[in-house]
Amino acid sequence: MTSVEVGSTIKTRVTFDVTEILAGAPIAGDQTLTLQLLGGRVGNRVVEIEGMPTFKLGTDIVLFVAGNGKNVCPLVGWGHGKYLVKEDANDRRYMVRDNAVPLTALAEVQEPLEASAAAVRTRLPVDALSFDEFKTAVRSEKERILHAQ
Amino acid sequence: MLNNVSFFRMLAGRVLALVVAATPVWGFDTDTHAWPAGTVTMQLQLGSAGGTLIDGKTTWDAVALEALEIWNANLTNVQFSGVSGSTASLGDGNGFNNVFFSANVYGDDFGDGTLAITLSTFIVGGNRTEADVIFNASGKWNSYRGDLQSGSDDIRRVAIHEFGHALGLKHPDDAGQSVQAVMNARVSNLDTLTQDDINGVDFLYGASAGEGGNGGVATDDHGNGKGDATRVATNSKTAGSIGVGGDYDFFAVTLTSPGTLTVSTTGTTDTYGQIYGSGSTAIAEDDHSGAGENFRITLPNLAAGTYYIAVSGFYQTTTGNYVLNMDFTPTPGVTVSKLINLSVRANVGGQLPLIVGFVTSGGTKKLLVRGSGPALANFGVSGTLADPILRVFNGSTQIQSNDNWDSASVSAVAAQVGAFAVTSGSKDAALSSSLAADSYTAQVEDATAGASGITVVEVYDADALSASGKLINLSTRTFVGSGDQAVTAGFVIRGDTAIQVLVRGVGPTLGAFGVSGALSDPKLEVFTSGASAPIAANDNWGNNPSSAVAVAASSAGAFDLQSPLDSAILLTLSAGEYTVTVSGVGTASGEALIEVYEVPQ
Repeated sequence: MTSVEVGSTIKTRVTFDVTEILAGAPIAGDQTLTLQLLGGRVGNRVVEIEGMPTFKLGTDIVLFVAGNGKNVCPLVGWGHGKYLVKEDANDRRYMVRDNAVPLTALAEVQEPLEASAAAVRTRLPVDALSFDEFKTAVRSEKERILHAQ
Repeated sequence: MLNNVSFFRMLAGRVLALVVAATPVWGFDTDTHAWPAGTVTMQLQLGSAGGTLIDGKTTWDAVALEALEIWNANLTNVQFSGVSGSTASLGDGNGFNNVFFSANVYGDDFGDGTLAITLSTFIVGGNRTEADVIFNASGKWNSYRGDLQSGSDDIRRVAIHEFGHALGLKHPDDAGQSVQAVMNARVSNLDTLTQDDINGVDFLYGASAGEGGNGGVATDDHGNGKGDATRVATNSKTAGSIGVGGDYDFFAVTLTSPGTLTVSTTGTTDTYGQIYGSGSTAIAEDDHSGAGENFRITLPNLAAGTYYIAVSGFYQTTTGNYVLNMDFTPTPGVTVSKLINLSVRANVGGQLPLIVGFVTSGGTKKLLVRGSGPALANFGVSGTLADPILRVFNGSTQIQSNDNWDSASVSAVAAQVGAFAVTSGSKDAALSSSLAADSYTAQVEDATAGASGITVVEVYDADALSASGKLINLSTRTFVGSGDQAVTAGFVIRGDTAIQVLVRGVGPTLGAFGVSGALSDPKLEVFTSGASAPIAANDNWGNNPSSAVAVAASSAGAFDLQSPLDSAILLTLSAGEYTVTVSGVGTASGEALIEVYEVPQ
């Protein structure tokens, strides 16, 4: 991750190791992807945009990317385009939304975050989609959309 | 940011969905940084509405002004001021809080469904300095109340939302909260503030703050960066709290020798840890290698130096308490350094002895204590004390004394510790004894009442370097002036590592403690042995209670300085011989206290 001054503002470039592509064009080259997001920190100056997704080392994430290098935020629907892969006590990998709420069905991705937040106390990791279930659902949705067009 | 678009609508577009492993850490410091108390001026540059809006207004600026007033009615320590029709230059980082329409955000597209964006600028550890609110010029804007109307974006509720960001409020739903709030990330039928929104600004600017409040920088339990990091010792445990989502707690630890450092948290909070050296890039970080969801980082063979630990919640939403564990094991074969000699040279006169305090810790300590007078003539010192008497006290109890030193009992120890030779049979005073860990004073005066002269009082550690006990403090109170009336103290460090040493020259604080004739303005210089230029100097320490000097003083058990005119220096020193000189600034003279502490690590 590097933050640089671009014009009068700051942008942050985040590089990811790509382990799998669920939809969209393959990535050329070395299977890394660098996203550019508006905001960041250079020296002691911080430019912050509320809602901008953030990232931490060592986490597996599913990202839905659009407009990288062009949009303020290169993820679809900002936090709606980022899903973390968590691991429960039984080593089961499951999905959570950007607000840490377990994702129990693919349809929930279009819910406002406050809707899923309302269910945060009732949604448990054991109820969440597994990583594999989520990938399968995304691929099925992609096929459905392609056939509908 | 406020949006109004569904995910599936966007998924149908050109979307790349992929599974990735995050190589970097996150992008932004999101500690809560508030505006300082006072007025926040917003440059309203939205212009004419080109007609009459549903609510009857004819300019966008008028709508924005109303949105500002809605916040003002709920703010105590800050107030918005709106400048309608402002012609202030547009730009991020220009110091103006611009509010305007644009097709892009300083060159970047808004992206599908994004109605407006607020760019907030703050300085790490400081206040919010700028907030630009940019409305998407492609929006179908109007201004109305009540439920959302199809095909029409209500700029008033969006402005209320974005001005909330300008104040420092975040999206409660992003934080996993289920509340009715105009600050939620998605535009809704809410057209004004809710109690949750008001609670938010009360938290930031009201009187009943938790980790924020009162219109200033958020005050939390530990520092937010390297500059205000909480200093902790090795092999220590420190309680902390992530009080608000996005809070970062910074800690600093100084390793005086190479070794293995293990940093972890314990507790039920899902923590994330990063360790920094002198640079801005973390040298290590971890999510949950510790117990449960706690981070745990082990760095073997870490070089001596100062390191910074940032503790945060794993999610932006994470809050909770934790205990930071700082475990350190020096690399085997390294002898940890310690003070092995402390000394003071001063003029004894009148009816009062020279009183030198010293403190030992860690077990019984074999010491050599001397009060020299005649022996100093061998070094060309004139006017020495003719017949010094040495008395050692523990509290008010005299435990030992010597007038003329006994060569048979002291010579071997003096040779062992490398003390300068004293002629056998001279009237110098010396004692060799094993003392329990405690505080002592050595008092030296002439055998002839009222006689005066120069003396040197020395305290030597006579144990092997590997012994557990050690000397940790020397102090003396005496008359100090400028020029020849400066007082000199010395100390010697032996071992393979560096140690932190706090040196103080205290004058005005003595006066605050009731000492009459205290030196009004001392200055302090530290030299390596034989050097003419000091390696460090201080006149006024500044009276900053959060400075490294103040923290070290607290750690070493030193009393708090009461005046910024006292002098103090914190040094990290390797093995060597050092000299401390305390003198009065200008013509100042009076009673002063000279102190040397080893700061525990």
